[in-house]
Amino acid sequence: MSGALSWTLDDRRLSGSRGMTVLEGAESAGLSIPHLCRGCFKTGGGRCRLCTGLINGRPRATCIEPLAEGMRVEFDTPELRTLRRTLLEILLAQCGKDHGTTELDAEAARMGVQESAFARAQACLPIERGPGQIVIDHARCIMCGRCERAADAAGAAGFVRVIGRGEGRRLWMDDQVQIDNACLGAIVAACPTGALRLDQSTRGKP
Amino acid sequence: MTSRLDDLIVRECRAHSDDRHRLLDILHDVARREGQVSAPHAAGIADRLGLSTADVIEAVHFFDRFHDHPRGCTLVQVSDDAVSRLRGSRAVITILREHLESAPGSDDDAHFRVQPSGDMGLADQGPVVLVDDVVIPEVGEREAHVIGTHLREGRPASGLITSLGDGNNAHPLVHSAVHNHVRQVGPVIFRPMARGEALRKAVRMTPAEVMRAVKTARLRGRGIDSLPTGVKWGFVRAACAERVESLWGQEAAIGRDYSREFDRIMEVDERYVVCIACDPEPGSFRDRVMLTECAERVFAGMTIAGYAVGARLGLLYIREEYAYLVTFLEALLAKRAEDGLLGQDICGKRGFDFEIQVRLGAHPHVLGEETSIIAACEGRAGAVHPRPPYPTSCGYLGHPTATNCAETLCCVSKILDEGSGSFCECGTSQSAGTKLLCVSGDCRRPGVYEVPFGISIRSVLELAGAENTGFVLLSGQSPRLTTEAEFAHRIGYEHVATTGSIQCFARARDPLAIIASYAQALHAEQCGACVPCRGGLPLVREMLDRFAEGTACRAELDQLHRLAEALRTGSLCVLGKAAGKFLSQALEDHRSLFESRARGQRAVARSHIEAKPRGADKPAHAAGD
Ligand code: SF4
Ligand code: SF4
Ligand code: FES
Repeated sequence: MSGALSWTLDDRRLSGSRGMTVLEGAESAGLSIPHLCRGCFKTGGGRCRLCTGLINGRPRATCIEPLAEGMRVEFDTPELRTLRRTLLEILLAQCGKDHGTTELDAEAARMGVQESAFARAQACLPIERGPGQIVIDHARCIMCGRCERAADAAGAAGFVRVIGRGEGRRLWMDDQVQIDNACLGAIVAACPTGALRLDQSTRGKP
Repeated sequence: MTSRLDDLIVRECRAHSDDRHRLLDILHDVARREGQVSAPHAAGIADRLGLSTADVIEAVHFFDRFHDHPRGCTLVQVSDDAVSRLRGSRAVITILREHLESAPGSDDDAHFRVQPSGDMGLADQGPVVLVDDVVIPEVGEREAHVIGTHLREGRPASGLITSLGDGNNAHPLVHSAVHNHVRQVGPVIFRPMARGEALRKAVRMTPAEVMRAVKTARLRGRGIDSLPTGVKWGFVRAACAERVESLWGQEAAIGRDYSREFDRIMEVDERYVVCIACDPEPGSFRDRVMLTECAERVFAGMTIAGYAVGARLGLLYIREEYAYLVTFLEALLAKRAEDGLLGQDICGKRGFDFEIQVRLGAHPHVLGEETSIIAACEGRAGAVHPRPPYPTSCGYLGHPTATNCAETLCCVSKILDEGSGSFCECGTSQSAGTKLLCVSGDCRRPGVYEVPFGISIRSVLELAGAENTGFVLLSGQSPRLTTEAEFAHRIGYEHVATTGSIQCFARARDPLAIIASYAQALHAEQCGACVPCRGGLPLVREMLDRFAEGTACRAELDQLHRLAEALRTGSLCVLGKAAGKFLSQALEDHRSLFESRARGQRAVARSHIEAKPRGADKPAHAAGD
């Protein structure tokens, strides 16, 4: 099954191995492709579309597309640069750009997106106290699902879930699930936008 | 949790054999009884079915049908899509609200809630009112008063059916006032066919031969996925072969006697057929008519597909508005099982077992996106799943699955019955056979037309009695609003590809209002899994509304272009892509109109579709273009 294969990324000839995604292939060659929803997880990307590349001429999310022999991937084209900027502006229109330290802001800075052209008046989303010491800033959540995967990995599947549909999607946490602080920490750490944090005031002893 | 709640949940779950994959059916029943699926309900159901509460909550919040708090026990839905609005759905909603919602705003303890809905699969006979599975078509203001009074007096909704529809709508098990409106019968779908004949012929061949016959007939998917059907089935077969091989390879590697592991191999080798029959696109109603008039043919097609790919279970996914058909469909299935056309050793073929289950879905249907429909069939929230893996290798319950729409499967029956040659007799070189078109809007004869591929848009309009048509909205992977200059174009995969919903609009209508209302219809179907569509489509919708009203500014035109491009290239599924293509095309075709509105040169035209009387004079903004 395993084996080396060769492929090209923007005219650069690269080698990779079977079973990798295109994004992993690029990373293993020391190139970085912007991505947000995949995070450090092997699976579950495909939602933010920031990593979109043209694979043999067709737009695909590179974080889920398996690498194949002879694959031709274009990433640095004017159209795709515009796409990435537009995507970031859509996200920033929703959650604002004021924290400055999160992964989302880092991606925005990297692409030179200062502010969103799409900013609009919308319903103020609440900052909510979740189970344990978690605090959820709903306006900052981009529904990437990384916290879900972190919870899965920490053995707390079903503790946190993105529910609802369309614009009404939001984060939900199950306050009936018992969860320890280490696990909460892992979940908070997975969030690329700072939508989750631990309330310092009661941290430590419950 | 109170014991009453416990009892209810146990009863409802048991009624569906505690099968977690029937979660949607269970939620439908609980919602019907309780008017809500609250957090305690969800926790109880999760407990009973062995799911996590999150799974149930996710499903409750995803589908529009379910609510987690009481919102009036009886839901009165009124179709309020673009076409229904042409026919006065807004007035109907107002009248019903006056009758039924005594205190607007405080609907906590009201008995009724009147809800405007998007497309309901009945665009040919809107506005439609839906109460308790009872569909009342063609509701005008007078009928609205009658319905309002009737319901307010506490009489059952079934009493509102005063006359029955044509064909099987009058069947005692259907008993519905819906009309079929089959306006033109072609050689493939609605032509009478000897029952069981196609299936008997199929089982005399090998599965490979069946697939070859479908390939020779050049049959392509009639739904949003236009892949050749034989090729799709081939993918399912190939995925199965790969799975078994990898397992056998493993077993061989560890030196085990794998002939004794037959069960495990069978388990690995499970595969399924899913028939999408929920009329997922705005303005489509072909599945409704097929299920009413030729359900047997759909079932035969599913069974043949099952034979071809080696599945033992087929799922028929229908939309909630078609719940009135469920008893009828299940009776047909029972009869087929009795006659040896379903069940074990079908048509005497040893070892060919196949069963069909009906799954009642819920909004949204995401234009029939396969992964979304499969999730709903599994009893999960129907958010689109990124691909790969593709459903043909990892679909229902993670097994290879053939998803086909009902029309495709009807074509399969025809091909097996009469041979590939006769199927190819109509149509064009690249689009064999016929297509069902659902014509609605400004025309005298809305309904279903079975036409050969290659027919021009103009001929369709003539058939439907659509005079003075200025714009036609065609659904599909690349939906578009065509103008008169394009009416000579022909329908077919190589020309103008469409999934069959044809909405006609008179010249007097405002194209920007039509474009805005289509964006709204797509927005109402989105799942929200990916960023461009979840975040972009609402922006597009708002901007288009402003263009329709004439309050948009110049900068918004550039923003629309950028969003259209992001939707087209960035979206995860066919819905966002379709929205992007539709928007780019519209911006190109109606550029001067968009520009004139953006500058706000003309008198501010408050020209929502619904505000304009039929046959009104050409609005001022269109005069100079
Ligand atoms: S809370 Fe953070 S990690 Fe979780 S979905 Fe929202 S943005 Fe993603
Ligand atoms: S394009 Fe729209 S409908 Fe499709 S996955 Fe994305 S959000 Fe869902
Ligand atoms: S990282 Fe690939 S789609 Fe989000």
